[in-house]
Amino acid sequence: MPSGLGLFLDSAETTMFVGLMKDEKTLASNSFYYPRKQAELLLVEIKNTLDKFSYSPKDLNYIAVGIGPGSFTGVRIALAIAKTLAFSLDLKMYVISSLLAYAKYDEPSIICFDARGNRTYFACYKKGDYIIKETILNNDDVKKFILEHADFTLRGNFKHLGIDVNSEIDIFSFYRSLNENNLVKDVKAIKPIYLKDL
Amino acid sequence: MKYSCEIKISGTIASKELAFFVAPYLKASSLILLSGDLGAGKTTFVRNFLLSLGYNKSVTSPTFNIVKTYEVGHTFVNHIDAYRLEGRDEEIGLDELIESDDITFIEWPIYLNPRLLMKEHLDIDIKILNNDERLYVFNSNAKAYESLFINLKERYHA
Amino acid sequence: MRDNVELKIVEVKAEDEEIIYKFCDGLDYFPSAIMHDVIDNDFGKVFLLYRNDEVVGIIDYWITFDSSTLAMIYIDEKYRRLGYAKKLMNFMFEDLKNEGVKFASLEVREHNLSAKSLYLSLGYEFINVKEQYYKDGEDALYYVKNIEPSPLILAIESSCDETSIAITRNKKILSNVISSQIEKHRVYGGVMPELASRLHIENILYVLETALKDASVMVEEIDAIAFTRGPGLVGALHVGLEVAKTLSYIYDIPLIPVHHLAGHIYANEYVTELKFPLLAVVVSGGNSELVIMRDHLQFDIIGRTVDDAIGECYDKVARVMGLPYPGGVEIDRLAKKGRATYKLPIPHTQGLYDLSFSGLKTHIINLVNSLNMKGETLNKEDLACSFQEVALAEIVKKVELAAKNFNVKQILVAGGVSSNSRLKEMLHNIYDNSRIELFFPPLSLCGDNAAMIARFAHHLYLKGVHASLDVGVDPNWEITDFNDF
Repeated sequence: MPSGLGLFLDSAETTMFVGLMKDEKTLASNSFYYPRKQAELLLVEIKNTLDKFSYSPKDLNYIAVGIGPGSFTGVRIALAIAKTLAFSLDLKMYVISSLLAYAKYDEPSIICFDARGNRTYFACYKKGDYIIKETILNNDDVKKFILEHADFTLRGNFKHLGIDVNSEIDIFSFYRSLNENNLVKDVKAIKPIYLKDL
Repeated sequence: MKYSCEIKISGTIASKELAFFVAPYLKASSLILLSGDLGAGKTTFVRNFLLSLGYNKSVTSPTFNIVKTYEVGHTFVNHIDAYRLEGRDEEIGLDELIESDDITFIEWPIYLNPRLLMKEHLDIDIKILNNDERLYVFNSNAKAYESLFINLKERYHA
Repeated sequence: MRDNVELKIVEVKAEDEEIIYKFCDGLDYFPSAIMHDVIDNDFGKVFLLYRNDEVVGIIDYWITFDSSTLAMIYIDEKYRRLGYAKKLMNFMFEDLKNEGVKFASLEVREHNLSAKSLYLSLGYEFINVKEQYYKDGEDALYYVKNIEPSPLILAIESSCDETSIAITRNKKILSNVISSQIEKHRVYGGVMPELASRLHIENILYVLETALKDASVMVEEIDAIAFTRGPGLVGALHVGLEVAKTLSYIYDIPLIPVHHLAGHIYANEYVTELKFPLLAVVVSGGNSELVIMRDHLQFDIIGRTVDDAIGECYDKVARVMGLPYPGGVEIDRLAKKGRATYKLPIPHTQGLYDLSFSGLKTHIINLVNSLNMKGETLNKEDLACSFQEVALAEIVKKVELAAKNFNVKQILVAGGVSSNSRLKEMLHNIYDNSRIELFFPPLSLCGDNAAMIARFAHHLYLKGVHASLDVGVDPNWEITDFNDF
């Protein structure tokens, strides 16, 4: 797990997330609901978060960002900011699937988000590793899976499946999922995970 | 239950009045499918609708961009032209728009995957009768538009 | 034009030695010293003023980092009091701005009243006396002028299918990197917005790195970040927006949102000074507008398309004819080989300066379809030619009318379609011998590029215009609102 001052970002969902960790201590962990205003406000919230602790971007040691799947627009906004920060300041950059960002590290988690058209962005993780890699499934298949795995923790947004679960990112789980495997070698080359390919 | 209504319109002023008449019935999350040949007046209908909301800036065909989104006050209106998609089933983010609370107009819906059009919607087909005359054919299966059809029939004796 | 006098300023090269020795014979500043400034002195710059083919003036100045000094300026006695010295001085100031110079200095003899008066009128100020400065023992007065800050600007353009980043200082383009996606969109017969956005996020940092390397500049040296805020494709604009905002935040430098079409118009400033009132003819894939400018940063849309943009019309017609995307280039090429044999309807609009292309487009689509149905062959060269003649004539007609009615001094063509050879030909035929100046941007700046964005941003910077970090994009941004964001 990384040390130093780390900025955590995700905006694959309508709710954007900005977090700040210093070594293993959580300084900030905030979710913002600004539908259709992510392009305007994500960077502002990043600045607010750093300002609160009198940090400037130059104080950062690493960035951790969720790269989708999710809203095409949202994913690109967070990634454009993260890439530019990492490139300009020569920071370490960690990228993980946005679904993994929502997982609870210690508990086997089912992560779901609405993929529209009766489908779900779906994944299962435990301790930062995937049990089922991020994919798109039909809502019916997902509902079936959930019933068959009642011992899994539900994380993400299940409203479209008729289940009342809407979680926020747990920054410490996000943090613990970072390791050598998701540390980026070439910041310029990083692309989002869309799953919906052209 | 199926609603249906045909209205003959002569001239640009009457076309504008029709759009203004229909406008208040298109509430948040409405999906309107526009069909008709080139030059029938599909984009003009959208332009007039936006005008009725107070948007008087340029509204042109979205064929080049595929989607144009207009923000009028707190309302978002999407104007999609699927002509260039030609039935190719590409995931280009249209579902996010269509499934939202926005008001969405789609020209050439025939070129989209039907999966995207599952939501209840209003169909408007515009037939060119001659230079100035059009036949607007309204159809819908959605109860939400019941009052629109009743009032259209009353107003236009259709 | 008065007198048929053509003035040209030309940089002196080593081969011009003979000219220098002849023209500068007997001057305080020896010809040998001048040639030294040309050949050996890395900091020296020497320019001659030509009146038709005759040398009438010379200016020699040195630039060392952010200061400069005037070594000498001389105008032939026969041509004094014609404003030639001022012309050379202004030329020097423009160059100093390009090079990031902040101070210009010079020495002048106490008794040289006309020179002193010229320098003072150009903004120099007296600082002190350098005693016995000249060889003959006379004192020199030391003058200094502050040069307007010319910001080093990094501009990002990502409104459609080209990712471009440029670094400029005044009119000097230090780098202008363009990564085009056109090939990737060909299969869709036009720009596919989602694909464009995906390619922008993939390419943009490579473009940034290259732009910085080509310019030999570090971001720390940049004075302002400019970006295209609109109009354009929303997802594509977002990528440029976030990169620009982030750079602005990291380096704490002003963020300048630029209107894409204003950028196209100002691309012409790289080849000419803007003279007002002027008519800007904006013709691109997504836009067709006629804009009157009565001054810098002042836009009045007097006419626009009521349906399709001209570029869009080209693409649709090309498509129906089975030609590859982008259609403009293909049609322009084929039209040269054909004749205008197909009779096509002339567009009608209510607005005096408005344009309309959808009727023309519909007619061609119906024509092609009916020919196909009847099994008749279509002569592509002739159809391309016929189409182009009608469509471009429509634009030219409105341009002529507007240029006359608004009494413009210049016509600037802007946007991707400004590279169309037939449009150039048609406008040159009308305006080459007219008092109205006609300009097209250099080919490399006709299409979407960041250098044009930087140019407009330069003006906004000098006016202190910039945005806060919560600025967003506007895919429908109108040019008259260029100051609203």
